[in-house]
Amino acid sequence: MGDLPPRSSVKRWLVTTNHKDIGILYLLTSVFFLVVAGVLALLIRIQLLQSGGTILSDAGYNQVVTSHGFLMIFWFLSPFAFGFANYFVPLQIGADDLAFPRLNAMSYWLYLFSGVLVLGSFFQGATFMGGWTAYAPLNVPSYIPDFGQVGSFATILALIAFIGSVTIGSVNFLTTIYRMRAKGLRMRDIPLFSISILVTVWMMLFAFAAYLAALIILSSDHLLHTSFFALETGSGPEATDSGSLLWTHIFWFFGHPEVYIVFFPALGVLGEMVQTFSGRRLVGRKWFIIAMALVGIQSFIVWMHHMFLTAISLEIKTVMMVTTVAISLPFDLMVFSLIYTMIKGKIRWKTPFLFSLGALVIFIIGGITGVFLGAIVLDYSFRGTYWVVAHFHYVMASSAVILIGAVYYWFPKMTGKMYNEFLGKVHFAMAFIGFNLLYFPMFIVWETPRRIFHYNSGFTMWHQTATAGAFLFAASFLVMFYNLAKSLYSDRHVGESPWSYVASPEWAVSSPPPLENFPGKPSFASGELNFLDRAETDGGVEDAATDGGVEETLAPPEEHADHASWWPFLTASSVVLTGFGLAGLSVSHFVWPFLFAIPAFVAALGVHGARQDGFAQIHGIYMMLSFPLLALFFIFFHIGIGIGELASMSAYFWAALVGAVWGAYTLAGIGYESFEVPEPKMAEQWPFESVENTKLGMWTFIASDIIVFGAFIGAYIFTRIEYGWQEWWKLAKDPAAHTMAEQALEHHPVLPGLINTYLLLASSFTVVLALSAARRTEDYSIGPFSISNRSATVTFLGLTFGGAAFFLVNKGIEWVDLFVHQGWTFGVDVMSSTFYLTTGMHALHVIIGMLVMLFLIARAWTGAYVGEGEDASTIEYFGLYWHFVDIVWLFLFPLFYIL
Amino acid sequence: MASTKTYTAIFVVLMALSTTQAAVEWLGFLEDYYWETLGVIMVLSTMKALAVAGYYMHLRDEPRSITYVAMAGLIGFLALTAGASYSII
Amino acid sequence: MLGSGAIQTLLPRLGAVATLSRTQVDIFSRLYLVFLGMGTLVGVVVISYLVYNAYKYRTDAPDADGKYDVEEVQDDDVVRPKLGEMPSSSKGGKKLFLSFGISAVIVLGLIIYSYSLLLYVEDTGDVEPDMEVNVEGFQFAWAYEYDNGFETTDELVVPNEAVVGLEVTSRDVMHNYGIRGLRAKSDAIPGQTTETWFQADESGEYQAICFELCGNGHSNMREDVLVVPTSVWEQGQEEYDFDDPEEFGEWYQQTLEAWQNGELDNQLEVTN
Repeated sequence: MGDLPPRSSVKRWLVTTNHKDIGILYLLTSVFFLVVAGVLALLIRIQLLQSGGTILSDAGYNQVVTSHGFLMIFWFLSPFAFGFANYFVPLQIGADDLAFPRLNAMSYWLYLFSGVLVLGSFFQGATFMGGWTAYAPLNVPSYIPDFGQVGSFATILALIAFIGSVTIGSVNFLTTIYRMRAKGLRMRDIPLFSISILVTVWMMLFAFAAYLAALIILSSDHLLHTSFFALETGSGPEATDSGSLLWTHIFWFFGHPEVYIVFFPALGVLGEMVQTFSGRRLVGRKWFIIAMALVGIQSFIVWMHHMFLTAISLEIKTVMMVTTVAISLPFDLMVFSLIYTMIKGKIRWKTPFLFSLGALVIFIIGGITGVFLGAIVLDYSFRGTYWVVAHFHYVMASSAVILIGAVYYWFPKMTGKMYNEFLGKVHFAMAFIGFNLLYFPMFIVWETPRRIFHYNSGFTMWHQTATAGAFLFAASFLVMFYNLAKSLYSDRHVGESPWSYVASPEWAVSSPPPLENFPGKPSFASGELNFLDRAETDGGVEDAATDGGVEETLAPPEEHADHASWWPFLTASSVVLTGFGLAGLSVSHFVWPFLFAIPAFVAALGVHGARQDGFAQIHGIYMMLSFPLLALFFIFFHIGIGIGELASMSAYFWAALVGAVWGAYTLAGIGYESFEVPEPKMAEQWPFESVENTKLGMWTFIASDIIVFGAFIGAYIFTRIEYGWQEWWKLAKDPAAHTMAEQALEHHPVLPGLINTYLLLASSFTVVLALSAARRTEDYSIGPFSISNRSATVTFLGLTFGGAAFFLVNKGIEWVDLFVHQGWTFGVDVMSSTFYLTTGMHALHVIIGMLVMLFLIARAWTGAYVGEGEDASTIEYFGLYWHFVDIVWLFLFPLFYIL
Repeated sequence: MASTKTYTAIFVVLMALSTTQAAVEWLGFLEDYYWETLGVIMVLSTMKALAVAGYYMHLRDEPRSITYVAMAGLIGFLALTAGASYSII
Repeated sequence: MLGSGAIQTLLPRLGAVATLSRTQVDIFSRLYLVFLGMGTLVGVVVISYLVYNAYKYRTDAPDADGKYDVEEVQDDDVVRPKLGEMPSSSKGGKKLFLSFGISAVIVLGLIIYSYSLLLYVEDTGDVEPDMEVNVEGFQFAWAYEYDNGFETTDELVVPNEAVVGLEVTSRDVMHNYGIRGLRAKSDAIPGQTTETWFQADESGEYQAICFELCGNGHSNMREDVLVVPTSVWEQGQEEYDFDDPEEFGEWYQQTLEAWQNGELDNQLEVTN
C-alpha cells in the first residue's frame, strides 16, 4: 500500500499497480519475447535454406517450430497489444486507472513468470514439440520422447499460468470499460481502440476458458495418467477413439477466436491511425463497430473450418462453411471503411501511416487468400501446406505490423519525445519489403508441406528468397530499437500531441501523462471533453470498495487510491517455482506440496490477520491449528510415501513444495493487505449502473468459469456419444475388458451423489443466511436467548465450511472405494477419466472456496462485515462463487451418477 | 434480498427436487423410458439451477445485464457441446 | 478420357463401371484457377484503389512550427476530427454498403460454385470406386491393405485411370495422408476413419506425405505411390489371380523390383 517510488528506482517497477507503468512493462516484456521468437523464426528459415535441412535435428526443428508459434501468439502478439491497452484504455475512456489495479499487476507478473516457465522448459530436457496446435494424442506422455517429458509438461503448465493472467486481465478490462467511463461517454462513443479491446476481452474471457479446460485435461493425462487422449494398455499406448477429435474441437473452439483476439486490438489502432493521418473521421464508424461485434460473436461458431478433413459430417462442414464465409464479410466492410476514410483526406505519410497502409495491403492479401481456404475443396488440398502458413502470417503478422505502427504513433505520448522520422521510414521500407519477400514466396511454393524441412528441389530458390526476406524483416527491427532508444534521450520534446487531427482524450493531456492521468475529472457531459475541478466531484465517503482485500472502515475525506503493492509480484513468483517443480513430479508425489501448503495457508492467515486486525482468538486458533494439520499430513505422507523418502526427494519436489507454500503465504498476504481503490464516481456505467465493480468482476469471472466447466461437461458428453451414450456404463462394467468389479457399478451409484447434493445445497443455504445475518440491524433472539449478528454470521460461515468438509469426506470415501477397492483407477478407461477429473475439478473449486471461507471466518470474527459502517459485500461476492459451484454440482449429479 | 422465509422455502424445494431425481432412478424409470426420464431429470436440474441463480445469487434483483453476462457463458458452452456432438452423430 | 467399357474389361474384378468426368486434380485445378483469377483481380483493384487514394489525398504541407505535423485547417466542407469531440462518422455510408454488397456477391458466388464441386468430391462423383485401399498411418510410415486382403508397408501400387477409394485411419497419433499431384488428402485420426479418393490420369511416381506434425520422424514420413500404366496392371491380371492376396503380392513385388531397376521408366508418364 501507499505511494510509488520514482520511476528511476527499480523498486517502482516491482511494486507498481499503475496502468501506465504496467503498460510499459507489458510492452518491454513482449518485445523481449518477440526477439526470442524472432530468433527461432530465423532458425527455421536457416533450416529451410535447402531441402533436408541445414542445422537442426528432427526433434530440434519440431521444438523450434512449436515454441516459435507459442511465443509469437501468446507471449508476444497479445501482450504487446495489451501493453497499449493497459496504457491507453483508461486514458481514452477517462478513467484514473483500471478497476482492479492490484489484479492488473498480478496479470502482468503471471504473464512474465509464465514466460519464464516456458523459456525454462528448453533447459528441462526439451520443450514441447507437438506444434502450437498440440494435437492429441501426440501431446500426451506416451507419444513424447523421454527427454521431452518434463519440458513438455512445463510448457503446458506455463500456458495454464498464462491463461490465469489473461482471465484476470479480461475481467479487469471488462469492469473498467463498463463502469469507469467519463460522464457522458456512452459505450458507442469510446474511441475505436478501446472498443476493439472490449470486443477482444469478451472473446478472451470465453475462448481462453475453453483452452484452459483442454489444458487441464491434458495436464491430468500427463500427471494423473487419465486417458482422455490415450490409454496406457499392457502392450503400449493406444489412442482413444474420441480423444484426437475432442482435442481439435476444444482447441479450435478457442483457436479461432484467438485469431481475432490477436488481430482486433490492431484493427482498433488501425482505425484511429487512419483517421488521424487522413485528417478525416472514419467512414461508417457505427458499422465498423457493429462489424467487429458481429465477428466477435461469430468467431465462436466457425471453429470446424480447421477440421474440414477430419471425420466430421458433411452437414456440419456445410454449416461451418456458411458461418466462415459470413465472417469474412464484416472484414470487407471494415477494409472499405478505412479506404473511404482516406478520400478527401489530408493524408500525411508519417511513419505510423506508412505502417497502416502497408498493413492494409498485407491484410487484404491475407484476407483474399483466406477465402480460398473457405472453399472446402481447395482447403482439402491446402491443408497442412505453406498456403496455410503464408495465409495466417499475412493475417496475424499484419497485426504485428499495425502494432509497430502504433509504437510510432504513441511513442511520443508515452515518452514525451519524438522519434526520428527518417529512421522510422527506413524501418518501414525494410519491414514491408522484408515481410513480402519472406511470406509471398510461400504462396508460390505452397505445396511445401508445413512443419517439414523437405521440399521439391525446384522450390529451393523461393525458400532462399524467403530466408533473405526474414533477415531483412528482422534487421528492420534493429533500426527501430536504435531509433527509439536514441530518441528517448533526444531533445525533441512533444507537448500534448505531436499529431494533428487527433480526437481521443489521451492527446488532451501532457506527454507522458501525469500519474492520475487527467488535470481534472474528465467529462463528456457537455458533448465534448472537459476537465472538471476534482474538489467538486470527489469527497463523500460512500461507495468505498477494495480490490478484493479489506475495506477501510472510513474512507478519508479526500480519497486517494493506493498505487503500490509487493504482493502481485510475490504471488506470481510462486507460480514459476511451483510450475517448474510440478513439471517433474510423479503422480504419487504431486499432491504433497499442495497438502503441505494448506497448513501454511492457515498459519499465514493467523499471522497476517493478527498483524492487520490486532491479535484475536481466531488468529491464535489458526496458528495453533496449523501444527496438528501439518502433523496430520506428515502422518499421511509417512503412510503413503514414507518419511524416510524425504531425503531422496527430487529437486522438483522441493521446488513445488517451496512454491506452493510460498504461494499460500502470499495469497493470505494479498487477502489481508489494505488496498484502497475508490468506486468510480460520476461515471457513465451503462448497463451496469447499480452493480459495484467487484460484483461485476465476480460475475464476469463466473461467466468464464461456466465455459471451463462447460468444456469439461462438453468433453464428457462428446466422449460418451462417441462410445454410445447408453453403452457408456458397460464400458466400466465389462469385466473382461477391465478389472472393475461388475457389481460396483451394476446399480448406478446414486446415493453418494445424492448425499453430496444435499450437503452442497445446505451449504448454499447457510451462506445465504450468513449474508442475511451480516446485514441485519437487530440481533437474533428466540425467547430468552439472543445471539449477536456477528456470532450468527460466523456460525453460518462455519456451518458452510462444515458442509463443504463433509462433502469432501463423502467424496473421499466414494473415491477410495472406487479407486482402491474396485481398482477403478484414473486411467483404466475413458469413463473413469471423465468421472474423476470432472468431479475432481469441482472438488478443487470446493477446496478453494473452503480456503476463502477460512479467511472470511477470521475477518467476521474480528468484527468485519457486520454492523454499522461495515460492508458485507465480500460475503455476498463469495456467496456468488459458492452458489455457482453448487449449480455446477446440480448438473454433475445427474450426468455422472444417475444417467 | 428476499426474506429468510423465502430462502428456507427455496431450500426445501431444492432438497425435494434432488430427492425426486434420485427416486426416478431407484424406481427404475431409466430402464424402461430412458430418454423421457433423461429429459425429466435434466429439466429438474435446470429448475434447481434457476432457483439457486435467481434467489440465492439474487439475479432476480440485479439488472438484467448481469443475467446476460452469465447467459453468454452458457450459450458458449451449448455451442461447443452441441456443435462438437453434432459433428460425430 | 475413360472408356467405360474398356475399364470393365481391363479391370474385371474392380466392380462398377467408372464414368468419372472429373478427377480430384481436374476439380482442384479448375477451382484454383477461378479463385486465383478472381482473387488477383479483386486484390489488384482494391489495393490499387487504396494506394491511389492514399497518394491522391496526401498533403504536401510542411510541418507547422514547433510541431511534428501539419497545421490543422478546416478548409472545405469536410468535417475533420477535433480533439475531445464525441466520435462520429464521415459521410460515405452508401458507398460503403455498395462495396460491401459487391464483395459479398463475389464471395458468395465463389463459395456456392465451390460447394457444388464439394458435393461431387464428397460422394466420389456418384460412382463406386474401382478399388478400395485402407490406409493406416503410424509413426512414421503408411500401412496399406488392398481389398483383396494384401497388406504392405511399402509403396502403394495402383493402376492408372482407376478410381481408388481410400479409407484412412491411424494406429497411434494424428497424421494426414496426402498424395501430392493426385490431390488426395485426408486426416488419419486414431479411432476414426476418414474417406477420400483419387484417380490418376497419368501413370508414374507420386509421393504420399504426412501433412500433420506427428513426431520426430514427421519430416521424413514420405513414401512413393506408383501408378502403373493400365497395360501393366492388365498384364498382371492375366498372369496372376489378383483376388488372391499371395499371388497379387508376388506381382506387387515383381513390379516394385522392376520399377526400382528402372525397367518401367519409359512407360511412366510422371517421374519424381
